[in-house]
Amino acid sequence: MSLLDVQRSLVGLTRGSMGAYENALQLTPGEQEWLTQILDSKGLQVTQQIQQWWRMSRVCSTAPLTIELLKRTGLTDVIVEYITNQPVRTLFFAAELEQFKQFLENHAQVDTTTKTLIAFEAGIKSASQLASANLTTPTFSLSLKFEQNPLELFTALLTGTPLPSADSQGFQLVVDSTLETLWRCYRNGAISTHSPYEQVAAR
Amino acid sequence: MLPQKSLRKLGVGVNYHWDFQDLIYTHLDRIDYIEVSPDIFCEEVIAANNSRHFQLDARKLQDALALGRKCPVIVHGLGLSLGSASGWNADYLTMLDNYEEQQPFCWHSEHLGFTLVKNPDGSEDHAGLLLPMPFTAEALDLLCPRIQHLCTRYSAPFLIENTTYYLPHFSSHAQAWDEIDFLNQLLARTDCGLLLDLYNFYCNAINFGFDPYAALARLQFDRVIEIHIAGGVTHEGFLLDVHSSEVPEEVWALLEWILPKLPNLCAITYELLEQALPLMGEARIIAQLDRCKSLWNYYLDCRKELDNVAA
Ligand SMILES: [Fe+2]
Repeated sequence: MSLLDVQRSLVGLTRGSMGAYENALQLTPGEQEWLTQILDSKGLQVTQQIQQWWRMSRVCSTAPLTIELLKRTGLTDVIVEYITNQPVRTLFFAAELEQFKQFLENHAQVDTTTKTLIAFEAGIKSASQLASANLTTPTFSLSLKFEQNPLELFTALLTGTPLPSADSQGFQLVVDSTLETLWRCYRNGAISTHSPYEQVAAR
Repeated sequence: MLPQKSLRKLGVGVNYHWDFQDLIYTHLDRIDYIEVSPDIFCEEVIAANNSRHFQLDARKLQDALALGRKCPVIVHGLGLSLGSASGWNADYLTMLDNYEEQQPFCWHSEHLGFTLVKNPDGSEDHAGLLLPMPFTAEALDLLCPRIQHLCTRYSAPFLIENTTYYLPHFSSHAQAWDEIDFLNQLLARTDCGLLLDLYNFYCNAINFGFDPYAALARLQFDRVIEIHIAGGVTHEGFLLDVHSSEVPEEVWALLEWILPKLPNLCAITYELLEQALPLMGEARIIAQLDRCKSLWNYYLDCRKELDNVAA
């Protein structure tokens, strides 16, 4: 078993199984036994848990509103599905957030509000990265339509109060790296104040 | 050139994070240097073809550079994936090249392990945490030229750091080397120094039931340039490397035991996770640094005595 095969096997095992790859390997009985011992070990479980904790902490710190909304709407399983089933690509926050956003966008159980919310949180991350890079170009800009007052939605998610109903029209959030607060809320084209909610943008 | 020939003794330091800035500025009389992982000033962009590149956060970097004008800096990398058989993360080195142009550092270090692996179809997987290298001849053959390259790429020397692992049977796979044999061979075949993480080594000793003193007694002591100490938690019977708390008494005892044996030690770093700051509070963190400093002074006294005897 080459070092490359050992490493592929270990990464596969930390994701739960070696899948089809194991069958393609020409393992000696000793190697097979070694991999089986690892597969059966508590140390592998602990390794998997550490990997999942770090990943969960990246998602929770970059998309706290989306995570809270998923929990409130009974979709905790979707978070677990992402953490346990989706391949790990990175140890970095923005790349993890981007992967989580794409996962939610393609998930049949996830509703429009949640998809809009993760787009907002990912947009804030992109805009803050560009703003921190001290570059005047390129800039980042994104416009998102909400079916409820987004400021009320954020408040509800941050304070644990009931979610607003999704029956309002005309709300739009603009995320823009050139704005000092990175985002602005409009209703029917007029700016809605969001000063009490700046903690969201200040993350 | 071996690292011990060119290095000055720094003393006691802490890993840098922007959340620690106030604490570090307030206690620059106690903190002799900072250990910086320049990766933390970056985000990673992964393109559709799986290629990776770092995107720098200039504001975070500028804050660290300002602190770097107040005290010496050493580098501790996170993202090279030094041991990946399918190739390390070259973009890390490009990033470190750029960092070196802006921030001189006394030495740089990386972990003995890997995070990235390329699949047969060309795609790349990430382990999601640092995984250990098997202690085999093949791993040694892969690592030595890479480490030698790192020893000469920068004007500052390179140190390799031992890591914590939880997967079993790494010592018994393929041949009879254990972690210390493997580290000694790496040191014999390259010019790198050792960043001895005593807490990591203690975790391995507890988790896999060996005597850390007997094992460490076989280490090539003259190559230890830096020591890491930290604290963590026990989970499912495993002591974890999470840098979340005070250094266990057993690790302080190991430190006191090993210090007089290390002629070329230059620094002791207390490693702390930024999330631990509000949990531990400044006073407890400073108490750890002060204890570290008194052991550093004990170390300097021991060395002086030994040098006098030798003279
Ligand atoms: Fe360490």
